[in-house]
Parts: sequence; structure tokens; C-alpha cells
Amino acid sequence: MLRSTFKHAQSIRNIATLNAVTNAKRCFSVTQVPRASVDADQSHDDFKPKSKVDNVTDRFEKMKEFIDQQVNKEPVVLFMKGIPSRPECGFSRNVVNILESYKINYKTFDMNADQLMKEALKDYSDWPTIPQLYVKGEFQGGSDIVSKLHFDGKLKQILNDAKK
Amino acid sequence: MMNGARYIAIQKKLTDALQPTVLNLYDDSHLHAHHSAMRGTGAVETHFRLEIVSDQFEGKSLLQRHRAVNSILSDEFSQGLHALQITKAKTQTELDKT
Repeated sequence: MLRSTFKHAQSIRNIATLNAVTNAKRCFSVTQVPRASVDADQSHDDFKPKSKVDNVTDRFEKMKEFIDQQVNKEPVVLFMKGIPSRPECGFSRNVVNILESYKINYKTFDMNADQLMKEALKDYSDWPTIPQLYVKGEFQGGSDIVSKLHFDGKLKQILNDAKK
Repeated sequence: MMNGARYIAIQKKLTDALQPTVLNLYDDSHLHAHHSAMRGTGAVETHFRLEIVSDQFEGKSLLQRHRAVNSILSDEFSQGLHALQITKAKTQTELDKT
């Protein structure tokens, strides 16, 4: 279910300009993208900065493939900020608390530890925020929807079905 | 409390696109000013909470309703809107039943 959306270009720009924002955020795992040389036009072909965007695009697409594999391999996957024992956002904590109440196993990925994955995930799900819950490859929603599914009793059914 | 530029923009975009019969928008940014992603950025108008009632939600799942709202606000998300809680997304008929 890989998709290429119009948001892709925006996501790429987000990644390419990360250096400007990461200092203010808790996202330190991003590889620094080399800046293009000022006199790029005058340099020899061999030395032209050729792969900056390609590299980012490539890594971005590979990351989406990785996400696709993970959500289809693992029954329950939560993309959150922080880790279950130490969520770094109230909305992530809320979903962790709900999942914990069902005493199930679930896999988590820390989006505060991987900015590329965070941007790739937003594009993959076409969903702008974290946390995001997947059950059997299917996107369930963020904190509000998971809460509603939980209180309506539907989440129990969804999670039970995932065990089969 | 004065409403900020993003508050007004969100309100207008949702009103234009969904013609809601109820639209309650709350700027909760102050509650999150110290959480990790916001700390030290001086960012304002980052966290909002929304209750919306629109007949355009008719026949749509909750996920589709959230997607519709997110899509209307996609520019806001790419320009610094960090979180939007949607605590209610109903049709007028659903609201009248409750």
C-alpha cells in the first residue's frame, strides 16, 4: 500500500531543512545533509553536488518500504514519541496506556529518535501527527480515534482479531 | 483571550470547507509549551482542540472525518501546527440523537 502523495515534496523539503529546526527539538539522529557548493556551476562534473536530493528521496522511499514491511509483519505497531516506559508526549502516553490495559504485545518505534522515519510515516499514512497505531497493516488512527475505539469497545475486537 | 492568526485561519478553512453547524476551537498551546518538542522554540498556536458538527461527515467513518479535517488543514500542519485533537466530529443528526 505504498503511496506517492502530493505531500511527498513537502516532506522532502522538511527533511532537507531539518538542520534548521533540529536544534530546537529532541531529534538528533538525523544525518547532516551536505550543503551544496556555492560555485557548483563552475566545478568539474565529478565534483558537482549531484546526489543530495536523490539521496534524501531514496532514503525516504526506502524508509516508507521499511514501515510498510513492519506494519504488515507485526500484528500491532505503535509509532510514538519516546518509549512505552517513558512516553515523551501526552497523546503517545494515552495510546500506550490503552494498549497496556489489553495486556498484548505490541511493537513501538520512537519518532523522536528518527526524524526521517517520522516524516516518512506521515507521508505513508497520509496523517500529520504522532502517535499512529497500526493493527495488521491497517491504520487505525491517532490518540483521539484510538481512545474512541477503546471506549466504544471496538478496539478489543480489533486487537482480538489481530491475534488470529 | 485574543484569537491568533492560526486560530482564525483554521476556523475560516473549516467553515468554508465543511459548513459546520457547530465549530468549537480551542487553543491549548499553553498547556504544551513545556513539552519536549516545543521547549525553547517560542512557538505559539501549536496545539488545538476541535469539536465540529457538519453534515458533510454523513456516511463517513471517524477516520475519514479526521482525514477530511486534516486535509483541509494540511498547510497549517506543514507550517507549524503540531497537534489537533478532534474530540467531536459528528453530523447534526448524530448530535441530535445523543
